[in-house]
Order: sequence, then C-alpha cells, then structure tokens
Amino acid sequence: MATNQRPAGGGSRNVEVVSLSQAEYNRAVKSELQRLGVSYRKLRAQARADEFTSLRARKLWLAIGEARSGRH
Amino acid sequence: MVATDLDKLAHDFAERMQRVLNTTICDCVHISAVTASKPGVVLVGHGLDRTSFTSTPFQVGLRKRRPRCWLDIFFKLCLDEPSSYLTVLTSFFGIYAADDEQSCLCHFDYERNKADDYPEAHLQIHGDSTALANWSSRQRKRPLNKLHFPVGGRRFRPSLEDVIEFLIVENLADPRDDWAVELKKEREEFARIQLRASIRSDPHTSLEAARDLGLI
Repeated sequence: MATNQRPAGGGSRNVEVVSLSQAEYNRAVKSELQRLGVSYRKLRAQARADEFTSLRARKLWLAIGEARSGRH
Repeated sequence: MVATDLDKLAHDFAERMQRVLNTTICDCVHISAVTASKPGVVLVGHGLDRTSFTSTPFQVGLRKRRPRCWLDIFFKLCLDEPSSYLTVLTSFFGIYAADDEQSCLCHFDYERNKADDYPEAHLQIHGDSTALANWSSRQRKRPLNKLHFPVGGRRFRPSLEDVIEFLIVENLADPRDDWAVELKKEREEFARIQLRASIRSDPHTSLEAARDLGLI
C-alpha cells in the first residue's frame, strides 16, 4: 500500500490518494462487510430488492457492488 | 495502465471535487481517493481511507458561520480503456440536516448499467407524501424514499455543481461571494467531459452535427 499527497490547487488542502494491492482491497471489503454485519450475498440481495437496511448499506453497495462500465 | 497513472487520474478527480466545494460553500473539506489497480477501481469521497470505503457526511459552511446542512459525496470510477479517461460507475450525493442518516433530506444516486429497471440516475427523497398516502393500498405502494425519480440519465445527470447550486439557491448553504463564477467554470468543464463521452459513444451523429455546422 502506498499513500501519495500532491499539492492541491485553489488554496485547498492536499488530496490524499491511497493505493491498495488486490489483497488489501479484498481485506478492506471484508472488513467493511463485517462492520455492517452483512455478507456480500445478503447485501447483493438487498440491492436487487432495493431494500437496503440503511443508507450506509446502500453506500457500501455503491462502493463494492457490481456496477460495470460496459457500453450500450 | 500502471498504478501510478491510475493514482494521478484519481488525484486529479478528487482535487477537482475538493476545489469545487472549497471555492463555493466550504472552507477546508478534505476529499480523498482510494485506488486499487486490481480490480481497477477508484473510490473518491469524504472520509475514505485504506480500511473504509463508505464516505461520511461533512458540514457545509464557511468560517464563523453556523452550518445548516451536511453533505455526503462519493464516486466509484474505473479506467475507460483505451481512452485513459476515468468513467464514473456509481455516485452518491446525500443532503442531511445533521450528521445522522436519519436526517437525510434526499440523495442523488447514479449506478451505471443498473441491474434492475430503475433509472441509472435518480433522486430519492426522504419524507412523507400526501399523494402516496391517498393512493389505494391495492396499487403498488412504496414509501416516498423508495421512489426513484429520474434525473437526466447517464450523460445529463446532476453534477456536484448542480447540488451545490441547489443548496445555495434554496438557502441551505451560505456561499462565497464569487461562488457563481467558480461554479460556472467547473460546470462548463463537467459539460465538456460529458460531451466528449457522448461523442465517443456516438461518433456518427457527432460527425453529422459537425457537417451541419459546416465544420467539416
């Protein structure tokens, strides 16, 4: 994992960029699911039914869910 | 693309979001980015770090002025090969009365290629609706906060600039004196990015329009 800070424009604070390896990313996903007390499968079921248990669950799905870039 | 390039793109995107906020309705909001070259995603928002992928709301307000609302912004992006642009996969703009999800007024969501039948770009409003209460219980009935109001589609969905303008004109946020100039500048840049994406997705129509204008 690496953390980079570059000077920001507009007199604002530096922007922090954290680079994760695949293993670190997967660990973070697992940790987030544990904090929320839900499995990936259950979160996906909430998304498919559009019945999230909380806004936090919705936001976690937006972060780790199945959104893809395919053109159509 | 190597990880450092992804980091640079992530940095520039996060910096732009931070600049839009800090030149209009905020003083020192800190937006951060998390990148993972595998699976090739970039997360941008407030409160993100190496172990937290869910953004957190931040106070909207300028120095010495009491904040009247909280804002939560989040983006998930990926690299659009081979163009080397970042593509937004999902986004979330939440407006709150306090640092508490129960106080949510509304959220503007975007989910590219959304799996269900709801619009990719939509607005969900928290509250009660007399209209919904009046409809027969035999009809499909969902509470107001479950309805997905369409908002412009993929190319013309609300931008962060639009949400900031909403907060200002509805007197939910005190702006800087030159907010309108800054917002116009940033909004024009967003419009150019979207126009380029539209051209890439339909170059033939773009060529026809250029011919109509006598440009080619």
